[in-house]
Amino acid sequence: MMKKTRTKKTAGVMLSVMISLVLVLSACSSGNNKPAEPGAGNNGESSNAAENGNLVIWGWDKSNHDTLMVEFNKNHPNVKVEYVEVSAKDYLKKIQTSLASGSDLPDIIFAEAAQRGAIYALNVMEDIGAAPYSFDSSLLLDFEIPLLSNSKGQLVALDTQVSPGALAYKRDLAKQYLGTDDSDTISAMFTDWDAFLAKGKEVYDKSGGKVTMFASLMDAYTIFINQQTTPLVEGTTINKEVVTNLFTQLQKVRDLNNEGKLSMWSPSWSASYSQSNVIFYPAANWSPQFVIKPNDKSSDGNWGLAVPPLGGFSYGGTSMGIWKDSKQKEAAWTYLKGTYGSEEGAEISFASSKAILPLKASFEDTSKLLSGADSFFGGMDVNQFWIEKVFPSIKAVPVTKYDQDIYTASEIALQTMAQDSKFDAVTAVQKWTEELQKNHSELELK
Amino acid sequence: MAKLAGLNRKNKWPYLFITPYFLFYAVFSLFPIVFTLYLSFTDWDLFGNRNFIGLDNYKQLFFNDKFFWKSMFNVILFIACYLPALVLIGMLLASLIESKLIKRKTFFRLSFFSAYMTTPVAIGIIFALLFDWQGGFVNNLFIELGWISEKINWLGDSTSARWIVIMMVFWKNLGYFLMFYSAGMASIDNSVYEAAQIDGASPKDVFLRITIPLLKPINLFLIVTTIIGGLQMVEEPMLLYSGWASGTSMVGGPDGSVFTPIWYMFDASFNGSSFKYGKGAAIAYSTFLFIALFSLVGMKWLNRDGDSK
Repeated sequence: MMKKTRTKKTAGVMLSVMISLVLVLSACSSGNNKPAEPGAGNNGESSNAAENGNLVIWGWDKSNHDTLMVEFNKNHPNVKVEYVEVSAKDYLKKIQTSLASGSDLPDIIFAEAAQRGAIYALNVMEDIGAAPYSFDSSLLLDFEIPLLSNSKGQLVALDTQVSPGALAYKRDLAKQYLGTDDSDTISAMFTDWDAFLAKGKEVYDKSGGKVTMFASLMDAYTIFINQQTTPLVEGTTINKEVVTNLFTQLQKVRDLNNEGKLSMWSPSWSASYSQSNVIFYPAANWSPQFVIKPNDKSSDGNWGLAVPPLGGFSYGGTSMGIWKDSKQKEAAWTYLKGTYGSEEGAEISFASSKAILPLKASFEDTSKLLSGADSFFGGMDVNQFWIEKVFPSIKAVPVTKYDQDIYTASEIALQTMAQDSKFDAVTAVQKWTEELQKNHSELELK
Repeated sequence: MAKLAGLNRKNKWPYLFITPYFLFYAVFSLFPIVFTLYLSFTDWDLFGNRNFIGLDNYKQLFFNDKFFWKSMFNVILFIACYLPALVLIGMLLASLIESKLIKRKTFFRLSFFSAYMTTPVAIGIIFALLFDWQGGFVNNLFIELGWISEKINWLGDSTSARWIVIMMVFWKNLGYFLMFYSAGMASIDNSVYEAAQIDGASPKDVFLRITIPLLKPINLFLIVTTIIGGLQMVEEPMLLYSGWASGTSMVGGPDGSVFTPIWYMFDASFNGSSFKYGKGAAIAYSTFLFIALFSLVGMKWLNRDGDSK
């Protein structure tokens, strides 16, 4: 009897300690305080909350952001930002693990191009088109809206800059193999991709197999996928015709020796920028700063930009939205609008990093946006090229939560296609679909 | 007062001393284990689904998922290749190092063991750089030596990709096996060998009839732990295809040839944009079942004479 009582007491002590520990751990987790709604309270409080705050931002480009904040704080001195650096590659993982564990997300959420659809689908961002933000989406360039909207059609983010895509080319190789290094002539030379690829075969043969139009199949894919006018996946249906056409085009790139069998973003791919074996690369307006110049430092005047067959495309870029459970939504909106959603934002973005916002108002007087002659690009005004030659033809399709996995499945299929001449478009579509269905069994190929 | 009197009793100290361990075990091990099991019966993703779906995840994995079976086949194939090689070569090298022929035993032990101290991350990256198609050291060396005229895409071919993973694991674990065998051989009483020599046993007989049987407990430990580790393999192939060296990531390697169950769990739950935690948990538990099954078979097989020592 005594023994039973003692055991009960010991069990009681242990239970109490466990409950205490659980309570302590629970207290460590995020609170369940109701997030503040912008516009709540009287006007004085609202204005105060809008101009005061210490926002948390996770991002991967702190130096540019610091420069931007210097300009922004001139108008909003009390809206401060705590910038936590998170690599673009790990961003989605950090968001999802925080979400799964119930931790706080940053007040401002980034969404890199391939991850946009997935982040929007997580339903963690405010609808900034609705009250109290009521941002008018007609202020944006038309092609931007599908890139900033979730599957319900709600506008949930703003772009940090426009990201037009075109072709960057090496002038010496273009002159030798295409007969000209003039941007307009090269843009006009290829009316469609078939003409481009036929010329690519000539170049390959003429150079004895040393020079190709593209460095890899993924380079060509980057352009083709962004030039699509019909999404590859709509709802839970994979558009068989669109995917088949895409891989048929890529098979042609391989069969006509238009690619140099490098792996995009590999060290040998980067090294090819300073070598004489590849003529064209897909390039966005961020490419000169982050890709071309760092990989071809000693070059001066040997690079040019041209419009690809079928026109410009949207390439990369980062959008930002407000976390729907943020406790500082008003200050977050002041920040977002003041940096990327207004004429004020357009001015400070351009002043700090020459970034052009996708606002129609920014293009009313394009003379303010010119960047001047760039000797690296043979004296071209690079911004003038993007504004006058590329923007008019840009199209974009809605982002989907499958975009990142589509990219991964394409990488896998194209790696095999590059090295196995028997791996044709039909097999590629089959493998690509299997890879995509691996973790998305709801998708159907139709 | 009665409670205090109870706490003052002599037997409270053992309970109090072991309580922290059990508390931490409950919070950091037991809870995740049970919670993962619960998750495996749900369709939890971050897109709003969190429904109890019973055994659906398991049914899908076992009856409709070729990726799961392929990943399981891959790890079993890897184990079947490198485990016999590790046991055989590890034992032979250990007996060579422990023999009178080798003088600087510590140097050789350390040389082989140093590979085991290297982290899998570094090994994955080093092998990715070595076998890279365009810029890899192996291709450049073979071209310089005139052995090949065109660069070979080692990591792009499913057969060579598998051999590279097997080689990585073999190279890394050889030192580990060797250390265990060396220690085991050193612990065998010299009088046993002397008696065998007096009875006229050849070196081959000594190795086969004395060394190997006396190393049985070590073999049991090494084989069972290697099977467990082998079924859990993930870092080596994942780092090989992470894109760190090649630029392009490739989940599962060419045609899924180096895909492993744990990689699949990571891929389903965290890597892409599917966030299928329920499916990931089911893969984890299914892998655990296979680990238990293979460990049991391994132990039974090694103890087939009824000697459990």
